[in-house]
Amino acid sequence: MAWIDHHPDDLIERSEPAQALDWLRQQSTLDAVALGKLDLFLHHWVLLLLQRPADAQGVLELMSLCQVARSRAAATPGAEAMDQRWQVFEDLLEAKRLALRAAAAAPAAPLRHEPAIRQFIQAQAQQRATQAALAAHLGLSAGRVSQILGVLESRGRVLRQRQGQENWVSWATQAEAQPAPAQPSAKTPSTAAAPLHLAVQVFGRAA
Amino acid sequence: MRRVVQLLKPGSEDFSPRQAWLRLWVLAGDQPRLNAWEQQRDAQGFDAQVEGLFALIDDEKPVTLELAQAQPLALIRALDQWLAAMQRPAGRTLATGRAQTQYTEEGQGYWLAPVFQAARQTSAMATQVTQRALWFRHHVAIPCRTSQGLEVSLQPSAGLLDEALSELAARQEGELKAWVAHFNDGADVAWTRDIGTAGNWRTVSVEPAAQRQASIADTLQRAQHSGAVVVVFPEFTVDLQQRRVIAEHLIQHATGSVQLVVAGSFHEPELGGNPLQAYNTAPVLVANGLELFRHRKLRLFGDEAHGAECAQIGNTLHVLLTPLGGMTVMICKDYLDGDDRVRTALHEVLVDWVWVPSYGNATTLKLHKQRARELAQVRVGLSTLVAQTQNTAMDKTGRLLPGFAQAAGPGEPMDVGDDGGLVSLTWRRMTTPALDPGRRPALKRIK
Repeated sequence: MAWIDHHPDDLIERSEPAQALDWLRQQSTLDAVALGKLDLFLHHWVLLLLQRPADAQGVLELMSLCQVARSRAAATPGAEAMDQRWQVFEDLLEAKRLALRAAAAAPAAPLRHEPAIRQFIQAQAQQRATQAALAAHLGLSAGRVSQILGVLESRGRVLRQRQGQENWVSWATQAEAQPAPAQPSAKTPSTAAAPLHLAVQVFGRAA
Repeated sequence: MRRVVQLLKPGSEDFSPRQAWLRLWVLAGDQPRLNAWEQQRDAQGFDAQVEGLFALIDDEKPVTLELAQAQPLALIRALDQWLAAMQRPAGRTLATGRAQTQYTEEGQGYWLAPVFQAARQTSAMATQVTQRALWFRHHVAIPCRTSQGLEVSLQPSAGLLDEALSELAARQEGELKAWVAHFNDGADVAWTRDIGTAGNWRTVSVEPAAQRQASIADTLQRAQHSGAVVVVFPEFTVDLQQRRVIAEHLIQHATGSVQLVVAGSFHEPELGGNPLQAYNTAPVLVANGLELFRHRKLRLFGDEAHGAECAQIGNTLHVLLTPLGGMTVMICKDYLDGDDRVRTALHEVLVDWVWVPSYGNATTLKLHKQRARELAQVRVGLSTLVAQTQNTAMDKTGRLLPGFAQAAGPGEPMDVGDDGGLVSLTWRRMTTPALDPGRRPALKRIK
C-alpha cells in the first residue's frame, strides 16, 4: 500500500513529514484524492510546528514538503486553489523560521532606552507594566514605545501580552528567553505554564 | 531639507524616518550639493554631532531646520545608524519588495535595503569625495526603475536558502562557495533561422540530449560533493527540457549544500503566443526545484550584418535580498555591454552578487573580467561569477572557455578548468569604522 493510500487519520497519527516527502518525490502529478489527503496532512503538521517552541529543522522540513507538494500540484490540472493554500502554509512557516532565527542570533548592542525600560518594569509590583505607563514614564509617544518594544521583543528581551484593553510588557527572564530544546519526534504541542499571547505561542518571541 | 525636518518631526502626520532618509539620499545624489555639505563639515566635531542627532531622533525630539542645514552629513549618518538599530534581527519580511513597501521621492519609487559587503565602502570610487557610500553606510536605496527605464523587482530569500546564507552571514567574514559550471561532453546547442523573416537565429535544443542531461546531473552532484551553495550554468547549454533535470535533481537532493541554481539561459517562446514572442531566459531555482524568478536577457547578441538572437528583450532586473546582501542575474551582454540601458544598471541597483551565464569567445571573456574587476574594486564593490562557454557558431575549433569568479574587493579572478569547478568568493561584513577626529585630509591622488 502506498503511503497516500492510508486513511487520513492514520497518515496524521502514524507518519512523519519525511515519509510524505519521500512519497511525493516519487510522484509526477497528484490526483484529487491525493490532493485532499495531502492538504489534511499539511494542515495538521503546520499547526503542530507553529506551536513547537524551537524545532527549526522541523520547520524547514515542512517547508520543503509544502514546496514539493506545490511543484507537484503545479503539474496537476485544477490544483490552483491548493497551490495558493499551501503557499500560505509556507508563509506561516517562514515567519516561524525567521522568529527562531532571530532568537538564535548573536545578542545585539542594547538600545539606548533599554536600561530604563527594564528598570521601570522590574520596579512594578507584578514585574510588568502597560505600554501606556511605559510611554508616560519615558516621555515617548505610544508609537515610538511600540517600535522599541518590537525590537526588544524580537531580541527576546521582553514579552508582550494583550489583556483586556491593555498591552502588558514584562522583562523576559533567562529561562523565558531561551526556547526549550527541540524535540523532533514529539507530536504534542508544548504546554506553557503561564498563558502567553497567541502570537508568542505560535511564533515565539519575535511575533 | 525643510521636508526632511518635517518628516522627522515627532507627532507630525508626515512623520516617517525612512522617508526622511530617502529624501536625504536623493538630495545627496546631487554632487554639487553633496560637495557643499562635505566642504562645510566639521571633521573634528563630527562624531559628537552624529551622537547628538541620534539622541534627538531616538528621544523623539525635533531636529530643527537650522541644525539640519548646519549638519546635514551628521544627520545622514545618525539617521542611517538609527534605522539600522531599529531593524529587527529578521528584518527582511515577507512583504519586502512588494509595491506597497516602496517609498517615493520626486516621483521615483525606491526600496530601502541593508548594505552587507564591506567592499561597498572600500571600492576606489566609494572612498572619493561626493560619493553617497561614505555617508550612507548601513542602507542603500534601490530604485524601482533605473534612470534608463529598467524595472527592478525585489524579493527576499526564504526557507532553506535563507537559512544556509544566514549561517554564513552570522560570521564577520567568510566565503561563499559557488560552482562555475562548464561542459566538455561534446554536446552543443542547435539553432534555427527559420523563425521570422529577419534572418535571425534562435536556439532550439542541446544535442545529444541524453549526453547533456547526464552531464548536468553529474555537474550538480560534483557541486553538492564540493559543498557549493550556488551553481551557475553557462548560456545556451541547458535547453528547456533539460531545465527539468535540474529542477528534479533539486527536488530529490534538497538537503544537500546547493541552494541556488542559475539554470543557464535559453531561448524560450511565450506559452501559446506568437512564435516570434520568445525571450532569452535564465531561471533561478532554489532547493526543492522552486523557481524564484526568471531573468529575461536585456541586451541581445548580434548585428545587422550577421543576424542576431531571434528574441524579444526583457526589461526587468530581479534582486534577491539575502542575508549575504543583494543578488541578481544578468545574461552575457547584460553585464558587459556599453549600452546605456545596462551599463549603469549596477551602479544604480546596488547589489552585492551578480551571477552571469555567458556564451562567447575569448574577447567576451576578457571583457567580462574587465567589468568584474571594475565592479569589484573601482565601483560598487560587488562579487561576480561568470559561467561561460565557447561560442561554437563563431569558432568551432577554438579552445574551451570556461568562466571565472571575481570576489568583491582587491584580488585576482579565479578561473576554473574545462569541467567547471568550485570557487570560494570571500566576503567581509560592513562595519562602521570609528572616525579619527585628528586625521588629516589624504592628499594621495586617486586615479
